[in-house]
Amino acid sequence: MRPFTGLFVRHAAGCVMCALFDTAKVQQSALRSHLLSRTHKVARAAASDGAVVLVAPSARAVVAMATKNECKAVLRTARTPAQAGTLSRYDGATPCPSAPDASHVEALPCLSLRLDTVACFSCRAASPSAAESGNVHEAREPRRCTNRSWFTVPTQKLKQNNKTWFFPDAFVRTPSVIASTEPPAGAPAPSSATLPLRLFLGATGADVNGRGRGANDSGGSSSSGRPGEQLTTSEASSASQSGALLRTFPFAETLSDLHWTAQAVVDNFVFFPPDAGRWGSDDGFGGGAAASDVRARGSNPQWLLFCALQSAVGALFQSALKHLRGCDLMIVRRLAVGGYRPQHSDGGGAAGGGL
Amino acid sequence: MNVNLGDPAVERYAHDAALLLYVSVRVAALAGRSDVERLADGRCVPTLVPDNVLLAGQVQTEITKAVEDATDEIETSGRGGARNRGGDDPSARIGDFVDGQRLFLAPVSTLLHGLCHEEYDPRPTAGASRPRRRWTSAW
Repeated sequence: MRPFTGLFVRHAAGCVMCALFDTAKVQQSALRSHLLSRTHKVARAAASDGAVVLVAPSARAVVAMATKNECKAVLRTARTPAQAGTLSRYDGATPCPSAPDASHVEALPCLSLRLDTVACFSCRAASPSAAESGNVHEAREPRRCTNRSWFTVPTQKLKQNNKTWFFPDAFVRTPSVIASTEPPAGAPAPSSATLPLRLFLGATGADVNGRGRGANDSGGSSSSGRPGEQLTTSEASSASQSGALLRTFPFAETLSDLHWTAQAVVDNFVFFPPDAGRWGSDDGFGGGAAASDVRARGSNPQWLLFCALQSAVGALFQSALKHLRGCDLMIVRRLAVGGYRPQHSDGGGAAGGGL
Repeated sequence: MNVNLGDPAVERYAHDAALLLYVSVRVAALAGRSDVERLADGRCVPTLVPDNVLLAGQVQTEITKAVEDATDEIETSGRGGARNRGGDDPSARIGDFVDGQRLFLAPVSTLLHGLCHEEYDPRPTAGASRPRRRWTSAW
């Protein structure tokens, strides 16, 4: 294993990252000065033992193992237009995104991450909390920013020369809450992946923002869920509607907290490999094989995993139901299977979405 | 689960549970990536409890073995085999075959049980430490 040096060569931009100081060096002289500085030596000594083995200052720094010669070689070489273009995107003078859905720069390896930064895309300021952001907005003079729609975004800190700036990363962006969900008249329907996550999951605002369990506890078949997707059983509650386990399991709020977009969900859990077929290829979003292409499905390991899981779970459920039907109902109620909650007064205590 | 549910409703539950299991196995696999891969991919995933991560890994391992066996079996038996619920869809037949493998069923059953008791702590773990000094910066 290579020794830890605190340096990482970012070939895409033709620069050198220092994981210990969250900084990028683009010139040989700057790198030399940085490496000779006492602060870098002290930080490097603190991050490694005498044998230059990483003591683990943080997980992000484990890849910072570039040698001085490698770094010098990169900075000595003239940058290609692609490298220069990539590097320019991280210049502090570059116009920053003006909206959560606008183009963001990609995350840089080795730089520390702040996942809970509150950002105002109107005045382009970042704060560690909403309260702090509120204070800044109130105090900023001479012109106050009147925007109060702040977003929790991940940011990275980058020091360049004497300036420190925070930039929001491309991933885990919050979908725009003001984006229209209705296509214009005559326009083709948008891909579901472009919808806000809340609508993509079919959850109500309460499910996502108000923590779904509370909403499910309220009971009633019309409080959430999409029309036409309610079970016809008389005991149907919001938790036992379509989605069942997916509803009782807090996927919606977890994905929301992680700032996954609908597109991210599709990208991560798509059954079929991209560019394997026509599905979704028209709109440019993560395409895949046509669902009717049984040969493509039969050779896709992800689809086979799902098929096997579905078959296995079906057998398990049938077996469990067979045993359950043989039990006395009073025993079933005492088992408190799934969503049975004694505080429900509607007599539907045995109903629920759990197991 | 409502004991008054009919078989079609149970199939619906099974479909949802299979989706849950599938997503969990995928999440466990994605969470096992290195920091470099995660940054290159650009997305992070929630962390499952260690027991469920272990079980998800077992499910993934067993499905790989079982699918290979199933593919060989189906190719050997041809379309006229005993298990032909899926008709011309080989994936349904492979799914049925894998379902019969005890080594696959056991971790699936345990993982399903574990997921029903899973609790997420959505607080971010990376970069969670906040500086003592107030910081606010325009970008």
